[in-house]
Amino acid sequence: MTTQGSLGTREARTGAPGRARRRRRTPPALVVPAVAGVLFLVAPFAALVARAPWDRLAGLVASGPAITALWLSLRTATAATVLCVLLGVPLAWVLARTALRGRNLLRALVTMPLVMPPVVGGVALLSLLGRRGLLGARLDAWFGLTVPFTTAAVVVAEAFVALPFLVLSVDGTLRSADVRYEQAAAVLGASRWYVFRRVTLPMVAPSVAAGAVLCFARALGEFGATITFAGNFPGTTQTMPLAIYLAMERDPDVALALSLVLIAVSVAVLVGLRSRWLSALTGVVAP
Amino acid sequence: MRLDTHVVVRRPSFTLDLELTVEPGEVVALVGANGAGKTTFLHAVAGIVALDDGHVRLGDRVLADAAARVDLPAEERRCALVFQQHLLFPHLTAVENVAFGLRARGVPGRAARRHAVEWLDRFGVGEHAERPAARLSGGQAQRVALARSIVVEPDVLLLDEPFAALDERARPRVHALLREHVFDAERPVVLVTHDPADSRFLADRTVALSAGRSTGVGAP
Repeated sequence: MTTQGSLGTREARTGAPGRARRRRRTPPALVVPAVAGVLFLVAPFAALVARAPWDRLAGLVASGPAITALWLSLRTATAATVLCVLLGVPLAWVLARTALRGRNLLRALVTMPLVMPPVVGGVALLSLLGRRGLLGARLDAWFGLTVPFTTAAVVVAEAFVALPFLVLSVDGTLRSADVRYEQAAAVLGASRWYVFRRVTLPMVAPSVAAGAVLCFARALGEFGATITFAGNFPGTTQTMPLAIYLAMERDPDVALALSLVLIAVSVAVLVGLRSRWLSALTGVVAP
Repeated sequence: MRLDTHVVVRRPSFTLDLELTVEPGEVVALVGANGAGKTTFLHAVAGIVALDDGHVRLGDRVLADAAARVDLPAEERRCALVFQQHLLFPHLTAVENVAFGLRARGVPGRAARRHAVEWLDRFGVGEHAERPAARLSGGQAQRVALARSIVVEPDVLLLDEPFAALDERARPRVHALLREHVFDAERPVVLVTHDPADSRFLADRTVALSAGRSTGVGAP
């Protein structure tokens, strides 16, 4: 029945062969808001590109502080993405594949950073890891470790807000994936860990990649939690979004130039997120 | 080895309650309409479906016993189950699929591969060893799936409609392969099938299942 259903939609999409496609009027009540929506999303970027100081762009971007901020942003976002994959994939597996009690509550908790303002996340991180925080005070006393206002804090803040993207993407794919392959592997004598490595992970790899790209994009744009938990020190915690915000107050041209650079990186990420990975986000595993 | 089962699985729509003993080397065909519980029975023996009552014993090992709260995980049961939809791992090649169970048990890569190729050759699909499983035809995939289950030398063989994907001409050949290479004097076999020809050529005994209960036992 499912096969018939999917065949039906495919035919509807491509149109029956040999028959002229019927033209149907699109209702203005839907088209007008849709066009307005597109303009609303695109116009600000068009304005940014139009207003950019193209004649002195190269000089502004190549200036020391801009390069430093960009380099820091790329490094911390990459580290945060790695952290998210290492923590997020096992977490998604536990949510999707175990009979843990309170799984739905756990799933809700995991999505918290998605709905919570990032500044609040930064305050929460300070409460835990700050010098006088619950855990931070002990880290300081026992190991002389201070997390806040360091580059490590930037990574922690970015991973904190980005982790849900990966968990939700992988969890969704795992739940819609065909568990019979894992059962077949178990009957063949494979332990759960072996099944995870050789069957589950390869089959959900596109969704892990898509989640990682989303994580990276989210980490790259992180502002609120970073400035609250890591501060704004050039070279160690001042990432691109922070540098742009600060430049806006002194020299808007610099802010425009830096914004263009960040847009370029984001577009590169979007291009990297090929359609195959995008389809993985909808939770369908490629056969 | 002797397979001694009393499988009780309760579902909202029906209850499977089947006592079945298969002697060493015996092939029992399990027949019945769709939804009679044939596949559920195989899955309960293999450890994919939990027993609500009863037991599964294989030789002197207890695989499951509801009263004693014994329930060995599937990977420790040494049962082979050939699924109706073959379920080859689509991201692996044919030979990697067959070697999978050996690798999972710690057999070194090269030895596992050599073994896998032998079985692929035996089943007449050796030339497709390097082909990704997703690109095999239905009949090829089913033979690879049989090889994958047999190569680990299981204590019992559970076949769920293993010939559904084979065309009429290929069937006698696979029947012969099973009789020659797979069925032996030791290993009990349960064969779920729709086709009377399968049970006539392969089975020593036929058990009919209807709405979860045995309705008759007889020669095939």
